[in-house]
Amino acid sequence: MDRFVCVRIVQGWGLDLTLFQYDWRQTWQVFLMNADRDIYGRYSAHHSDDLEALRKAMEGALELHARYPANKGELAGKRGIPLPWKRPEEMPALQARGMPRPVTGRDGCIHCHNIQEGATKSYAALGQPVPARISAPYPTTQRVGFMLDTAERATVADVQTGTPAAASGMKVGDRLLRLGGQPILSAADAQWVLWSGPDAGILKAQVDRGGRTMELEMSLPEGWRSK
Amino acid sequence: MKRLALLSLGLFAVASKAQDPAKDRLRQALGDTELVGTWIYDDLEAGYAEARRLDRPMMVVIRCVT
Repeated sequence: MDRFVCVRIVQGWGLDLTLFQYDWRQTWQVFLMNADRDIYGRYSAHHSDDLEALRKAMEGALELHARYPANKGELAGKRGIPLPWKRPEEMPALQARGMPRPVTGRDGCIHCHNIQEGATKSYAALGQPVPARISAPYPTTQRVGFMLDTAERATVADVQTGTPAAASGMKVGDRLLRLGGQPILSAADAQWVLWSGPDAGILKAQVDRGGRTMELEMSLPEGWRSK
Repeated sequence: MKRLALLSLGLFAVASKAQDPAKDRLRQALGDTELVGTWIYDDLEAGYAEARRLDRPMMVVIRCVT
């Protein structure tokens, strides 16, 4: 822990949505990043038994930090995608909640799930269709056919037959090094690539299989987010 | 959930660092009385500055107050 500068954020008001995009339905989220606002990795508390995965993601962040800024380019995709709002308080659907104010206790803030709901309703307020990535559940890797070991950084624990992952040649035991060109430190990183990625098309994966680096391609069909 | 709770305690139970009194009051109000160390509370800009000064990566935890 002492190799990191640790910050706790307790409220959604003022959150920089150009950076802090994640599964807003989660109760807590970790961003491993640097002072230049480049993101090394994400971690979500999906399970209560995956804390070892957080430690390993932190180790991965230290490795990426040691190579920074030479690797700055490969981190670009980890930043947020363009949204119509830079902060939650700009969302029309959240403005009714009043102006941002300092949180002084267990009230007065907006919560992560409010951001999710606010985004969905605010697209409608703008007269724009809600993007599929906003309206669909935040994707787990199972959505494209694989599961990661919750005790590891990103090791494939299961591949379901008849899925894009299976068709790509992904195998149980593969260590997922990159997805969509981004270094992967955690399951949340893989989910981020899926969420921020295309609604259909090719998603490239790089895996380590027994010491050999292999390049795979998953073909995501139209509608994969909601299937 | 027990392990999650333990992690939460572990995350915040580190050595003490002086902060804005308002942040300290917030921390008290939230019951994070064991929050100590190089943790910076609810102030990302201070986190960026400290990370630059120390040339360390940051761990930013976004967690509801309820």
